Amino acid sequence: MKFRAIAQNGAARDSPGGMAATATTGALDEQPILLSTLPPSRGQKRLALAIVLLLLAAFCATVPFAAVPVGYIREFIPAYAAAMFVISSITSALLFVQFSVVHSRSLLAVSGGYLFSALITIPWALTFPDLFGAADMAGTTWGVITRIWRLVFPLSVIGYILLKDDEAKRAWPSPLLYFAILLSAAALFVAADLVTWLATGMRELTPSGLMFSVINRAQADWNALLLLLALFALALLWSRRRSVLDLWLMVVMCGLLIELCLIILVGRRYVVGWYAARVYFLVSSTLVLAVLLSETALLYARLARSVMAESREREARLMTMDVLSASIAHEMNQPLASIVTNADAAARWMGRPTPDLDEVKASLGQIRNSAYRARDLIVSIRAMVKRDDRNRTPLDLNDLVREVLTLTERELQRNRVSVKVELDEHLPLVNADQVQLQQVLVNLITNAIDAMAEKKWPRILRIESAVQEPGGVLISVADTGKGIDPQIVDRIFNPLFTTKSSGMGMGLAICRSIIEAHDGRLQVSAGVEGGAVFQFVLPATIAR
Amino acid sequence: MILAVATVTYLCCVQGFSPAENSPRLRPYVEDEQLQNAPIISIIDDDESMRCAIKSLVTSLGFGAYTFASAQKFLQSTHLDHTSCVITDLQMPGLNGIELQKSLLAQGRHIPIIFVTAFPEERLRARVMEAGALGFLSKPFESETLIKLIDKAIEAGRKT
Repeated sequence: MKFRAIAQNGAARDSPGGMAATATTGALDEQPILLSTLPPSRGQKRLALAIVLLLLAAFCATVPFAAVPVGYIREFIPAYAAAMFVISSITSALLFVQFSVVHSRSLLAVSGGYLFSALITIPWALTFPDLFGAADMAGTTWGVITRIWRLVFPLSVIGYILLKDDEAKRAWPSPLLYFAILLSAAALFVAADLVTWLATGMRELTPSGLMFSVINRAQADWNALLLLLALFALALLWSRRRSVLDLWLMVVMCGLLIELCLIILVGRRYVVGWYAARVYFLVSSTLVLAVLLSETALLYARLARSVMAESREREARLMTMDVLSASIAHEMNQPLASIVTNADAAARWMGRPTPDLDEVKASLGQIRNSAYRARDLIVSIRAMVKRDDRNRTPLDLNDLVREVLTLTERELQRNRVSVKVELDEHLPLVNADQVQLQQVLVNLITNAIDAMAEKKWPRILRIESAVQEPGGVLISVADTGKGIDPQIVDRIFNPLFTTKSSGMGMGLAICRSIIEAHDGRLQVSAGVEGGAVFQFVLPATIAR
Repeated sequence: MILAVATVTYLCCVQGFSPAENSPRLRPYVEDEQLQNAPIISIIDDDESMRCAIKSLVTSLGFGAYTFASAQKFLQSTHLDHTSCVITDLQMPGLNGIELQKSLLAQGRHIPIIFVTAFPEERLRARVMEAGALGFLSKPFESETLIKLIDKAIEAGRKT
């Protein structure tokens, strides 16, 4: 039987699809697909390696000319600072957003590091000795700020790595989350100010000669410390590398290391190495930001595609009822056509001058056979609906209602139907086939949408659940459509009866057989404020 | 003669149709040897009961009728040359109705085709009508509609 095959096919397509969809959603709930959680692909690893190698090559190429003096380029420091400010701000914003999604303190640390970098560039540029006259040729303030900047950034990365592994997976309530972001931003702002104040203050408070000697004496130590710190951060990142973000942070650290090496190597300002060092770090930061942004966009596109695929899957599931109805109608029309044609033929044979009774008899036999065939078809539909007793599980109909409302959400929105749900939270469980009841509810909701499609306003779908004594659970689906003509109210559950211009008229018939197969009943009545109310009552399992 | 007139009158009363409109239906029942002269209708449907029902209706009208369970069988048969009208199902295993129409046209045979289907689709209807089908009926169809289409097919056949 063709239609049974289609029905089974539909069911088969149903369950794995449904399960797959749940599985994906489950995975999504557990771990959002983000740059900070997603492992890097091979291509990404190769790209990162290529960038690091390029930076190294550039570094090696610069070394021979590193000490060649270039002279003071007035625009360099402001331009560099502005670029660093913008890049660091955007990167930190990107990471703060990741933090707000993943709720991981490690991300807060690294985004804080970037924000600090962004903020510190302002005093860094302003205190640059040669920018506003030669007020501070020793460069103490500027030097201190530079060092603190280079100190804080690797520290934040180290903090990120260390916090990453002992993550207590907890969901921050959103007010706390935003508070944390604001607080850290404010704290960093204050910290940057403080650093600036201290750095400038130091120069005025201490005898410049002494300070100069301290800084000078510590220069080598400072450099070693910064270099070691950056190396340590890089090593840590390498040992605990997992995500796309880890990969690109490694690239940034390489950029930083190259910058430090060049600066240590040349040891003075305004030579090729000094400029090149800044440029390399800027380039690596920019590349990383570009990559992070493009990865985010690609990730978004991939997710959007999979969400689309999932919703198509859902729509296909909703279609099952239509497909089933269509195939039933097709199978039903075959014997019906045979009956009608045979009856007409028989009438003609009878109406001949000499009635051909043999032909009449043959036609009547055919009519009888076709009628039996139609009966068998109906028996098999009922059997199909009844068959799956084993799929019955204790169900909370409230959950079912919520689930179906999510499934039909788009359809409801598209038709601008507002949904009012009143669920009795103390509903006993019902032993039922989830997919079948889902189909019933989807069908009732679709009918309600269709009924309200012609009406202007208001379009309200009201779904209620209630305890129906004795021992029953009632679900009602009410619409504000044009209601059901009392003359046809007795026929609407009949197979092939339809008032729709497009429709097979099998939906309600199948709904009723499903509900009756569950020892329940499906009824329709007129709504209080017009429209139709479909209600079904199912027997409850033993009260929980 | 009197009998014939009486029959005509009776049929018209019963069916409520004027004689002019129904002339082919009033053709007397033909025995096998006469069948050769009566227009032949070929009926193709994979559903046996439907096939027999249409055959019964068609022969009650006085036409000759051949039935085929598939389009291939019809195309291979010797009745192809003297078929005045084809009544065919649309969805059939093997060659479907549309392919049958195509294949007949490819052979240069412009036999009037009436499609009957339990799965009417506007797209398919438009397609077969475009290709020159005589009619497109959805099952269950009114016998009168089919009869009118057959009459039209026979009329068209006479003219050419």
